[in-house]
Amino acid sequence: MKYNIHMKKICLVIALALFSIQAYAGSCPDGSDPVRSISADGTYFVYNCGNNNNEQKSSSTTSLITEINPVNHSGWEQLSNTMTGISSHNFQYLNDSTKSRRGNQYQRFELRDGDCGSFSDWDDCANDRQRVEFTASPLPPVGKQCMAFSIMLDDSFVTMDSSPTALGQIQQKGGPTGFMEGFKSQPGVLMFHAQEGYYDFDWLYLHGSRTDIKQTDLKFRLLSLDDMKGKWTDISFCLDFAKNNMSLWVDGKRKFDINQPPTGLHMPESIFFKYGIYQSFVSKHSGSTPTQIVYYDEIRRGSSVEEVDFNINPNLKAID
Amino acid sequence: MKSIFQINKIILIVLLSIGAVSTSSAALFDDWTDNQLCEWMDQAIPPAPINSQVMKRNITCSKGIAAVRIVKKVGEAANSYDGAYACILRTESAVGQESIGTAQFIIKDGKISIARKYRYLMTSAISSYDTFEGVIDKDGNIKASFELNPIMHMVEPKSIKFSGNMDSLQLRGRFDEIKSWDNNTKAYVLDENFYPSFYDVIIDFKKENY
Repeated sequence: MKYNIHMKKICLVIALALFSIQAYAGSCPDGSDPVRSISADGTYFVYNCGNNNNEQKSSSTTSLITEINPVNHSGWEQLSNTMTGISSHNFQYLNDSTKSRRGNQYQRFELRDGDCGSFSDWDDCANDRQRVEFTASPLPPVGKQCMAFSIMLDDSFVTMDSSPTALGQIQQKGGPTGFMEGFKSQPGVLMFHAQEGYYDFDWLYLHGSRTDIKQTDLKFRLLSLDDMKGKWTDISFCLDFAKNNMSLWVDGKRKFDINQPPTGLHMPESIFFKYGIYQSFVSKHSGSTPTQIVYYDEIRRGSSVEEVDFNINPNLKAID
Repeated sequence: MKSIFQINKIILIVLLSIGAVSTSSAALFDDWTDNQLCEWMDQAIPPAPINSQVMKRNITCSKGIAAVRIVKKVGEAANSYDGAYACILRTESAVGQESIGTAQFIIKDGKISIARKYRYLMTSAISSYDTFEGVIDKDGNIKASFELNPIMHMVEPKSIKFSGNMDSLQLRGRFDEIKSWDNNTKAYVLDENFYPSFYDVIIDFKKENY
C-alpha cells in the first residue's frame, strides 16, 4: 500500500516536471528558454530569445514581454500576461511621441490566425478562442472603481465574420456560475466588443440564482470602428458598487449613466480589468482569421473619473 | 417549547418558498424602473429586450428619462382628407430596415382602405390588404389595423394596430410576440428566442393626384 502511494508520488513529480518543461518548450523559436531581464526604464520584464551566434544577435533577437510594472501614477500595481504560447509579435512597446496618445510610449497588440495558448485553468486553443491580453491585479467590488484607456485601431483592422473581438473587458472572480450552451460558465461583468462595424459597451446582465446564473447581453453602441482607425479614442468608465451604477465617457464626454449594480445581485470576490485583443468563437469565421492590430495607451485606474480621464483632468501625468 | 420551534421552522420554510416562487415567476426586467429601461434607449438601435419592454409599458424615453406615451384619441371619421395616397410599407428592427411592399390608400368619408390596383407585398398574400381598416378624423389623426406577416419567415400573421397623422404622413405599428411555425406540432408557437423579438412596421404615404 505504502509502495503504491510512493509510486504515485514519483509519477506525479515526473508528470509535473514534464509539464513544466512543456510549458517552456516552444517559448523561443529555437526551443530554448527565454532569458528574463528588466526593460531600460525598469517598468516591465523583457524575455529575450537570442540566437547563440553573437554576430547575428541584434538582428535575430525577439522580446516576449509578459509583465508590466506600471508607473505609480497609473493607479495599477501590475499588469501581466501569463498565457503560454505567446509570440514576440503579440505585444510590443513603441516609442514615438508623435504617434502615442500622450508621452513617449504606447503599446502595440497584434493577433494572428492561430495565436492561442493556455492558462493554468483554461485552454484557449481547445475552446475556440485566440487572444493576447494583459490582466490587471484584482480589485475588490467596493466603492467606486474607475478605469480608462486610450485605444487606436490599425488602418488594416477588420472584424471577424460574425464573432465578436473583445478590446477591453472586466471579469470577475468568485462570482456566480451557470451553464451556457451546455458548458459551465463563469460570466464576466462587461466587455468592449468590436463587431459588425461598431465598438460596443456590452454589459452582461446577470439574473437567476448564484449557481444557475443566466446572462443577457445589453449593448450600448459607442462609435463606428472606421472612426477608430488611425485615431485615438479615449474611454473611461466608473463602476460604483456603493451607489449601484455605471457611467462611461468617450473622449471626456459622458455617454451614459446606467443605474444598475455593475455585477448584478450576486457579488463576486473581486473584479479584474483585461485589455488587448480577444477573439471568441473563431471557428465561425470562414477561412483564416484576420490579423488584428490594436494600440493602447494611458491605461489608468482610480476612484473617480477625475483620477483617470485626462480629458476631464488635463493635469494627469502621461503614462510611460 | 419544541413544538413552537417546529412551527416557527415550518412558517419560515413556507415564507421562503413563497419568496422563491414569486422571484422565479417574475419576468425579465419586471423589477426595473421605467427610467432604468430608458437609460439604454438613448442610442440608434437599443437592445431588443429593453425596447420591447418599453413598448409593453407604453412609455417613451428621452435622454434616459421615461414619460408616459400620449396616444392621441382619434375622433369621428371626417372627409377633410379624402383622396388617394401612394404608400410604401417597410419594417425596422435590430437587424435593419426592409421594404416590404407598396399600395395605395383610398380615403373616402374619413374611412381608409387599400385600392385593388397598385398592390405589392413581399411577405404575405396580396389579399392581406383586404384586412386593412382605418379611420381619419378632422384633425388628421389616424388609427388603423392590418392583419399580415411583415417578415420573410414562416410566422403567424397577426392584426397590427397602427397610429399616425397627416403631419408626419406616417403610420407606425409593431409586430411582436412572434409565433413561428413548429414542424413537430404543426402549429404556430410563441418563440421567445425569435430574433429580433419585434419589428416596427411603418407605412409612409403621400398625396397623389390620380
